[in-house]
Amino acid sequence: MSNLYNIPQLGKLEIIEVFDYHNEPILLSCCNEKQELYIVLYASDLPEHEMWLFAKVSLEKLRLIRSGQINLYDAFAKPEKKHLLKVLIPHWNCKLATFHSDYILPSELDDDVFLSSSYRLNLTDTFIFPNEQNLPENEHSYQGQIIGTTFDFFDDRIEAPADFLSKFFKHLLSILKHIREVQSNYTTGSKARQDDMELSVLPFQPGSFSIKFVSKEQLPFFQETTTIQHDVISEFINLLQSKDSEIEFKNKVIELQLSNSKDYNNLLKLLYKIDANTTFTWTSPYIAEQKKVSFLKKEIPKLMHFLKELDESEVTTIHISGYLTALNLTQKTFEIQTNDDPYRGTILKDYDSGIENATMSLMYDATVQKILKKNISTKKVVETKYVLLKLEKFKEQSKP
Amino acid sequence: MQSVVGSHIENCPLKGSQPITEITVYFLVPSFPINKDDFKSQYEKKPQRFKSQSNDVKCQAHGLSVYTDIKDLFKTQEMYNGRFKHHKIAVGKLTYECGVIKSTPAFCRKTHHTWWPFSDIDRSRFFIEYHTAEKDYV
Repeated sequence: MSNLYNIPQLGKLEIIEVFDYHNEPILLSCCNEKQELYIVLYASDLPEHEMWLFAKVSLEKLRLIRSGQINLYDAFAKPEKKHLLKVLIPHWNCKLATFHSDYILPSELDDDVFLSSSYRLNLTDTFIFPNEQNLPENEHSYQGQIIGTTFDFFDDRIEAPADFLSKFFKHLLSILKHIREVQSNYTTGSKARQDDMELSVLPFQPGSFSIKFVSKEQLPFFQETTTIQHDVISEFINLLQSKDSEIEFKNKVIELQLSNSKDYNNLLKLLYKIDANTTFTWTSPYIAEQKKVSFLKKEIPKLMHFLKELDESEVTTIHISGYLTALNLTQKTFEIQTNDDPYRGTILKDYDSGIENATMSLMYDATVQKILKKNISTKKVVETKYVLLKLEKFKEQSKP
Repeated sequence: MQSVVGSHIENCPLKGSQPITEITVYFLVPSFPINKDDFKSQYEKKPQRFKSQSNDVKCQAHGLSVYTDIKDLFKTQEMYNGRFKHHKIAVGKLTYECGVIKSTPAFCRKTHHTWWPFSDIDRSRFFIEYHTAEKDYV
């Protein structure tokens, strides 16, 4: 029978720690039989029901909530999984009311069901989860993004060349630092410090070619998922994931300004040299899911060719103003008519900042990447491509 | 000898609980007038809920939350606005006839106490309605 500590979606729950009490625990942490962690709040009294909220948390986030680095409003109003489990339990004397439990977005709830952001637990002791070693998402407990690499060698080798590993690590770190710098320029307009992006090697699993690096990169907590996904390691995995489409791959390389950088090319060359397929994973302490991309050796020449094509291109960023004359969000294409020429091209894959609200035939200011593809021998331009990076409301001073 | 609620549970009432001499306490009730059911413990109302929890949780759920400083009761209402905003306050003078009590400070409310009443008493008779004025809220 369902009750507060036995919920269809979560199973049986065991209280781990009671943070606040009034007649019974009203703010607490608990875990289910799958060792998943939840924080729980007695949020509201409805005419026939008690309303309880369950927010799934990683061990790291639970530690941040306990230590007060995350306030009790954010703990529930900005859950890691975006949704909360709302559980309605009939009051003991409401015999006709029934038990309900359903997932809900915090925005669908009145604000007064949450605790105020001024409340923080500020517990100073170190919390050790009793079954920490058994946690399926144990990697999430590191206070940093984790990049995992697994080399699946074609032969039955039991050793990997140290020279290869040291070069791999060097190139990987160079790319991540480069992405960090580019992102920092995009978001803050200033260059990131080199020591903002360092990696540490996590303990090895014996008998495996899986190596995991934890990043020292510090990220702001509780930003929207879209922003979180733009951390360096996640972005690197996005770059790898774009390999299946030439357009997406090239757009991503251009966006991350890797077309003229030797780092990515060097990494690909290195991965092509060894007889192995490589799998990369990204694990974040803030998001329960893991991103994974398998990189087959046979795919690498194609990517190196794409990079070469980009290397032979001249890439510049230009700003234009004009009328939006075509927009296809499915095919990710656009056309902007300026006073001079129409600019037709593709929209940056990850560009989603309100472009769906753009209105046809209105004037816009746009930031566009211009790619001139040249013939290798004659150096003559054989193709011009445009990639839309940014579309903004037209500002009078930039009238064409 | 009179027994208190929850005393069938091992180590209940919790270690450190004391017989009550005389103490004024504040208690939240769902509405006025006060009635006997307002003073049922959570365990008495929903025993199934606590079935698989530890003895300490079961024991404390047999007790009632009272505060010796009314400001802490206001704080409870302010913190858990969605839960307690319509609740009313009852004030009572607990004596040796009432059971045992232990100081169990709660989050931001140091004067939270757990009261384990004797099993056979009418708990509501020790309480009267407390009508708050706006100025009481801090």
